[in-house]
Amino acid sequence: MITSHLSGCYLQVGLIENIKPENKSFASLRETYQYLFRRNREFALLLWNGIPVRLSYVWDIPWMIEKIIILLDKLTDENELDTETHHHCYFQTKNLKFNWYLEWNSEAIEVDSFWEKIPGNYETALNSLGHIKMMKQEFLYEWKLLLEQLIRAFQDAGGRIYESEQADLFDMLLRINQSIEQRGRYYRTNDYNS
Amino acid sequence: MIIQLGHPQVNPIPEGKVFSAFQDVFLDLFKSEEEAIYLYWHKIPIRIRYREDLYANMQLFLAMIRLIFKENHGATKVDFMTELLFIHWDIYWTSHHIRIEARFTDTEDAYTPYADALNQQTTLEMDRYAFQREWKSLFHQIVMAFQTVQVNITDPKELKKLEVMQKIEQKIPKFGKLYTLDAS
Repeated sequence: MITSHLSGCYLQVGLIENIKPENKSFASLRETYQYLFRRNREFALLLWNGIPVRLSYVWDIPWMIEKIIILLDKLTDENELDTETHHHCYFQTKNLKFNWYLEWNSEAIEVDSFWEKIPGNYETALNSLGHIKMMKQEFLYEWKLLLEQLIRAFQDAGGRIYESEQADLFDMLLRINQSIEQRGRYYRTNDYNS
Repeated sequence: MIIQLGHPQVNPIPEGKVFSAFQDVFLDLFKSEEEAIYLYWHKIPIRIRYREDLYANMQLFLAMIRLIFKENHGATKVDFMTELLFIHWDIYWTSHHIRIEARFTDTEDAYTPYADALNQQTTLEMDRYAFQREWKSLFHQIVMAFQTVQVNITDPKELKKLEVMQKIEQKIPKFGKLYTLDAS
């Protein structure tokens, strides 16, 4: 058992640096954000039951975006609410490897996680607190500011994604962001503008 | 070791409010539900909250950096605490080099494996100036926050702590690794 306010999954974003209008074309979301975030130095931090995991905007987040969008799409798509209630994500990036098995209903979400590789090698600590349960809405709120960062960076840089399947994913990202009503727990009253 | 700052909202301080102690300011200045500072110990992030953890530890951090800044070589120790960990550092430094021998203890059984992972690498060695620069970033942010809301500390001994922090911060020429532009 852990202190209740530490239980769950919460996200602190990093500062996005130096996005300039460049109007470049990219094949995929991964390629887009590898390029746009190449100068980023702060990390995003995922707090998993109180234990922080650092996510690099250069080496991790670009490899995770597609899977995050597909996951959030399932969680926010009202037509699928009654049918699909579970999903498996395997995140594999330069630094990280982990599995999330998610199950939800209209109110709550549960995630069983299996951490295979984390910088600093504290997988055992995360696996010993592998399970989370939280309100589904609250879980969705945590991703909103990251989605806003992705959208803003892409819009500020200009450019386009020429693979149509990948461009569709970006449209999906816009839709998901619209449907999530508020930001995560650390951003409730902030005027966060960057 | 690298320090990543958060970007917390700074609460306005009501006009006329005076503080008798330096540390009390943190409780008014920052919210609990807020971005945090992260100290990366051999790549493992340690969360340091602006409100509760700086309230409890900032004076220790200040005394530590003051000594390491002032004395060309020496040794000291510091015991501080975060929500998940008790942290003990034995620190030894010479003019260019710093070595920390650390011990991490969990605050709750659930975090024993996390403390164990940190205790896998108890020694940290780095350039003495690089170490100071990491703390400059934080001190600078705090000095700026105190100035923005015009914190009024009445006790001269307590006010001195803020002045010392400002003086040290100004004398360390560069910010930490995540906040300097030269690629290093």
